[in-house]
Amino acid sequence: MQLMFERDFPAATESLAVVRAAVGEACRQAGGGEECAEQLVLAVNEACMNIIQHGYALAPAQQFRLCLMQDDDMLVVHLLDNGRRAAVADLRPRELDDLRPGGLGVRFIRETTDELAYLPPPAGFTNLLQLKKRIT
Amino acid sequence: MEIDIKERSPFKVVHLSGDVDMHSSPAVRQAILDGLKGKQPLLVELSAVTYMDSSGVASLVEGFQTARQQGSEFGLAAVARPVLSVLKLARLDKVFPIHASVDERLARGD
Repeated sequence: MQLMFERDFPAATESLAVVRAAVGEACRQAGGGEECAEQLVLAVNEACMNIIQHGYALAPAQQFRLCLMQDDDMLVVHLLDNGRRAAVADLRPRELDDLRPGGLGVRFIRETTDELAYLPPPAGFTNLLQLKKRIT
Repeated sequence: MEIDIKERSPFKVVHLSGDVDMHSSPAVRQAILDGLKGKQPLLVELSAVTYMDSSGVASLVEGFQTARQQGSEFGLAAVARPVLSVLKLARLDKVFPIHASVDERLARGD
C-alpha cells in the first residue's frame, strides 16, 4: 500500500474544495479516468460533509485527517476524526422514495465506491472510515 | 460559486455557476426560496455548474417541493453533466422538469 496524500483539515465547509482537488488529483495520478475521479470525489466529499456536520456538529476548530493510498488497482481512502462515535447504522442509506431534502449522502457514497467500512481507529481518533474504489 | 438572478418574464431565472457544495448551498437554497415568493414561476439554470453535492441537490428538492405546495412552476434548465450525474444517482432526473435551455422553456409558452 502506497501513501499518496495525507493532511489534516479544519472541520469546516471551506475544506471541502481542497479535499475534492486532492482526491481528483490522486485518482488521476493513479491512472483513473474522469468518471472514476468524479465518483470518488463525490464519495469523499459526502463522507467529509458527514464528519463536519454530524461528527463535529459544525465546530471548525476541530480537525479531520484525509489519507489517500493506492493498493494495486484500488484507491483506498481513510478519513479519521475525533467527533461523535459513528455506527454502522449511520451507513444505511435512506429509501429513495423518501423525498425529503438531505439524507442522500450515504447513498452517493455507497453507489460510487466498491467498499465502505468503519475500521478500529488508531490511538487518538474516535472514527476511521475506509472507502475503497477500483481504479478504472 | 456565483448566483445571478434574472427576470425573463414570466419567469424568474436563478443562474448558478461554479461548485454548489455544502459551503455554498445555503445561499443557493435561500435564493431559490426567495425567488419562489409571490408564486412566480422559477427556473434554475445550471449550465455553468462544475460540481454539485447532496446539499445542492437537497436545495433543488426543497425548491421543487415548495413550488408544488404553492402550485407554482419550478424547473431546471441546461443541466451541466456533473449535475445530471448526481441527479441520476439520486434517481431525481425523472422527478424534476428538465428543459434543454431557458429559451426553450420560454418558447414553449403556456
